[in-house]
Amino acid sequence: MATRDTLVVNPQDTLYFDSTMQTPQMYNAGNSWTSTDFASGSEAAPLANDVVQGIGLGFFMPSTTLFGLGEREDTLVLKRTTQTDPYELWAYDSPHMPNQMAGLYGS
Amino acid sequence: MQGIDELSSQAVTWVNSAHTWCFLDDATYNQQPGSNINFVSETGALELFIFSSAVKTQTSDGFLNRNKRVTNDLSTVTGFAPLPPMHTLGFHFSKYDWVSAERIMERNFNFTDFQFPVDVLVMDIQWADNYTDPAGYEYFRFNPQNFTDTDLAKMNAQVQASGRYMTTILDPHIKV
Repeated sequence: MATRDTLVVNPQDTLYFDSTMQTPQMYNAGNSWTSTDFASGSEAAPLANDVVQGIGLGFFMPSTTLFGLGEREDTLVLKRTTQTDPYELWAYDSPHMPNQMAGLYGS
Repeated sequence: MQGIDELSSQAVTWVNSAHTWCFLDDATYNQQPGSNINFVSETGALELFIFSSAVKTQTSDGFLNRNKRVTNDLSTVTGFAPLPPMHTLGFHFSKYDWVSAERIMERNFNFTDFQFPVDVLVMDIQWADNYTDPAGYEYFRFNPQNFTDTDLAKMNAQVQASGRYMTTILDPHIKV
């Protein structure tokens, strides 16, 4: 039987740690932010007490059927986010709407 | 995040309570089709657990349940989920509104009187004390204006006698 990778950590070299990415003030000002920005970093100098430290890491699984990321009104089997916004783990203070990829109120 | 294919089950638990995004894409690794999963968190430490059932094993009574095995391993880290109490599966009365012990007792009486099959009376955040300091709700004690000690005792006795339960809502902040 051929060898088989069961789970690969960091297959795309997407391990990031960035202490200069963004300050909460910039974030609250409505600046858009994507995973690409995450890799390139930001020009902003960190403030002494208000640094947002971003972290990221990727994995490969030899499965196309994925589930998890609970507390959302969505299908059990998770969708690809290649053409859409990513799944978000965040408790929104908003009404419960069906078929939303975002987290539920209070999740 | 858990994946399942014909041969194995795999899981990654990303331990981070900050605002987090998860990107899922088609991928191939060493000619194996599968998924790339990328977690990005706004802050926090890099902490994670990975689990795998390895390959499926044939046992005398069939294939080992690889999904169950990974879930079981995961539960040794995150805790085994308890079965929900029966009453939580019933009807709840919940309203974002001013609340007092008297009002709860009145509702409790009326639900019995009119034979509404309600199992749980939910009090929204106004049950908590924000009179002592209006800057926010103090979740460790009832608001003393609407819930006197005498009324609390009466309310507890009446709701308990009716077979119903009460639950209180908390917003995620702490004030002492």
